[in-house]
Amino acid sequence: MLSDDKLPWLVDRIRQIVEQASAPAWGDLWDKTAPGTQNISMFAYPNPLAGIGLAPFVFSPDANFYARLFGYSLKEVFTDATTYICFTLEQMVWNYENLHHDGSASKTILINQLGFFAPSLFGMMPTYADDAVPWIKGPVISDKASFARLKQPDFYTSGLSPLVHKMYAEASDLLPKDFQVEFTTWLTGPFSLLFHLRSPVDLAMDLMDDPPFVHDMMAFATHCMKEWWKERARFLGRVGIEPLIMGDDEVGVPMISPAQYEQFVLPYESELSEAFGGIDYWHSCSNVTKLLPLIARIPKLRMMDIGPWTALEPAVRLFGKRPGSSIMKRLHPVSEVLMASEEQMRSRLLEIKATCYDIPYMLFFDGLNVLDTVEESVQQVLLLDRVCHEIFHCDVSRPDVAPEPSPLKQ
Amino acid sequence: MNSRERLLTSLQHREPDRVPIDLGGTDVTSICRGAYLDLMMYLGRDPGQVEMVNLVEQLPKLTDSFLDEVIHCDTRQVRERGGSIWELRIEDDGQYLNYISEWQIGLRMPKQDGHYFDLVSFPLKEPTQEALEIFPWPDPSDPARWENLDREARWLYENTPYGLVVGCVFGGGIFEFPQYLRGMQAFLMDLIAEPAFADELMERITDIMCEAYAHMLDKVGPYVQVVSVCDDLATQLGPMISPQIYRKLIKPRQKRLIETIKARTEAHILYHGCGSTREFLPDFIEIGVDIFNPVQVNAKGLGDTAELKQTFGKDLTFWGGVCDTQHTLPFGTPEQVREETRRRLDDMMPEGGFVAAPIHNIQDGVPPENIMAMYETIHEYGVY
Repeated sequence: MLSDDKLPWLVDRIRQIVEQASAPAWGDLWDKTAPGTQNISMFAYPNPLAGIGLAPFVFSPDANFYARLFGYSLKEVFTDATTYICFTLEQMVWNYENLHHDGSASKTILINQLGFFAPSLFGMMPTYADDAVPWIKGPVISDKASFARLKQPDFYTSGLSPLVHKMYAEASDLLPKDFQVEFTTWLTGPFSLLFHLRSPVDLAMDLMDDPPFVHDMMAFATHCMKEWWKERARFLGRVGIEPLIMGDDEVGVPMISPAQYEQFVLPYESELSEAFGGIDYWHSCSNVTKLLPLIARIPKLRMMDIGPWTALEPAVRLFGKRPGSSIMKRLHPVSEVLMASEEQMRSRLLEIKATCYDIPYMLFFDGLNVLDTVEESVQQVLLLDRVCHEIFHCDVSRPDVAPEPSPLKQ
Repeated sequence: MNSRERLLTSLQHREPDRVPIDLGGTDVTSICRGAYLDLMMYLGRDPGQVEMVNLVEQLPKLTDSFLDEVIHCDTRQVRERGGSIWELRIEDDGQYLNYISEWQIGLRMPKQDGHYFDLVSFPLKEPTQEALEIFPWPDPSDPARWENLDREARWLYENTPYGLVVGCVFGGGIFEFPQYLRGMQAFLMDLIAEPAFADELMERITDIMCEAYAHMLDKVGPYVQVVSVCDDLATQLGPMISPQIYRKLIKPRQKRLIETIKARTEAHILYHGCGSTREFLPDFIEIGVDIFNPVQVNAKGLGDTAELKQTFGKDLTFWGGVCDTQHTLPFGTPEQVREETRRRLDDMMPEGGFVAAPIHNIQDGVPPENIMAMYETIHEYGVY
């Protein structure tokens, strides 16, 4: 239960931080001229000053990490506006007071329902627990007949929409006028959405057994995504839709082959990019090494996510050296962060720096959870932050280590 | 040295006259129908009327003359019969062939270019105790399931030279069957979200498995040299579940199953587990597994077969692993197949403890030239 004075205290503290904050000693590493003004994302774009030896890094631990650290119920966080706001503001304060990272405190609060929002619009409602981020289960497309019954989501009434509208309205009332509340976003890419709605097993078989059905589902998911974002813009009184930030998490080998990606996914992601004026950030948690040359064909793709399993070297070649695009490199949250020694962290980060030195890039640390105790996990986060600060904020030299090897040479 | 002696010598980690060879000794070391027919045509041999012995995997009954003259196979399989209540009924819906298994699982295969019967509907819809209570579990004590198996096994034992292998009863394991009954995605969720249900489901399946193997081995235990169990735990990249969950929920039940088997036979225990199972190999040894199959060399941690042999070869016989079944065998040249087969033999043959077999079933579309290159190399270089 939150105390009555917690929210006012957090609001004042954020005001102090925002007013005090000026460019840190290592400079402002974000590109303020980058296209896309959604201001709803934790993502910004590295300043295209490639080769200066510095790079921004951002910590974004899992909600479960912060909930354990601060003592929140995640069920309340994702269903109650006051709890959600306090939880979000408290993260900003903690990050500001404990980390050197480049994610700044802000007076804009996104009502973020993560990856479970979009599936909910089609009937996959989340299960809530105090100690876990909500999860979804129970695919809704069991066959062609059930797919035929699916309707385009209603912006106001489908799935979690009523809850999100309520939280948005309450948050807007709770926060003072100098704060802004952003309505939730649809992050989930069309393939990822079908992965949930159809189930991975059935979808994998459809890819082989029934290609027309996959195209029908992908076209439907793509259409629904575009229409939802248009309705969101209308609701917020904005002119048109802005470039997309998209997580197509299950796009990766071996879930799909490169040939299947080219046939079943690339056309729809390209269609989305054209419709939205670009994809500001393309993300997948899977291994997309073998898909990189195909993903590079998506028009107006600006920042490419390189997750823990994806090879960095070909991404640098394909995206890092292309005008107007950059790379976000993420580490493996367990083996490269929570269970890593300082020496292992340093070695890996120097390898990344050596690989990316001449291109615009940033590092992003997500998926961080609590392994054993909160204290131990916090110590690992603080350790990584210190090592990152030394390597990416203070030392401009090119590392005297070998870059990450090409997967072709491994 | 006959086939059975050759097999037993190798299983005792001693070197026989040549490496024992298996094709069709289990339903995970065989050859699919299309590949078999292509091979028979390539060899100019008449396959005759092809009888299917495993619908799901599309495995044909292999002729003795083919196994003896072409493969030099040292094994034969002893397999369970179906239950008396269930009857196979295949329905044609125009696009697919469909049937419901004895476990009430819906399977289908595309009529055009279908390779397997895929599992498409799962009978346990809800993770509840009530669902477990009303489910029509197969009866492992059904006499029809084991009818005449003792006579068959004894005849094979007394009248043929082959090593006899009991195939995996029911065709699934303690971790696999819950996925067949609930669906893979649902059961993986159950392990976390409905742990009591997942635990009870696996316990019931273990009870059925133990009873089934007990009935089987009461019939054939004295005559067989190898008993197979199977349970896929891993993808090609690593474990499908955390090792902690495996050790807490699955390993103790696998141990109980293996103890049930070992109480009834002196046969060696073959564990079939696809994917990157390296993490679990010490666990398998601990619970009494003698033989590891299929040694999927393109899965993470299993590619260096020399190192694998050095690390685990004293405790485990490797049964399989002869040629990368996803790359070299289907897509390589015959020369590349020969090169890899020879390398794998060099790695795994020394000091016995090795049975040459394909990595899982040889799939449709594998060129007959490559299949023959693999076996010709085994014949040529598999001599001690």
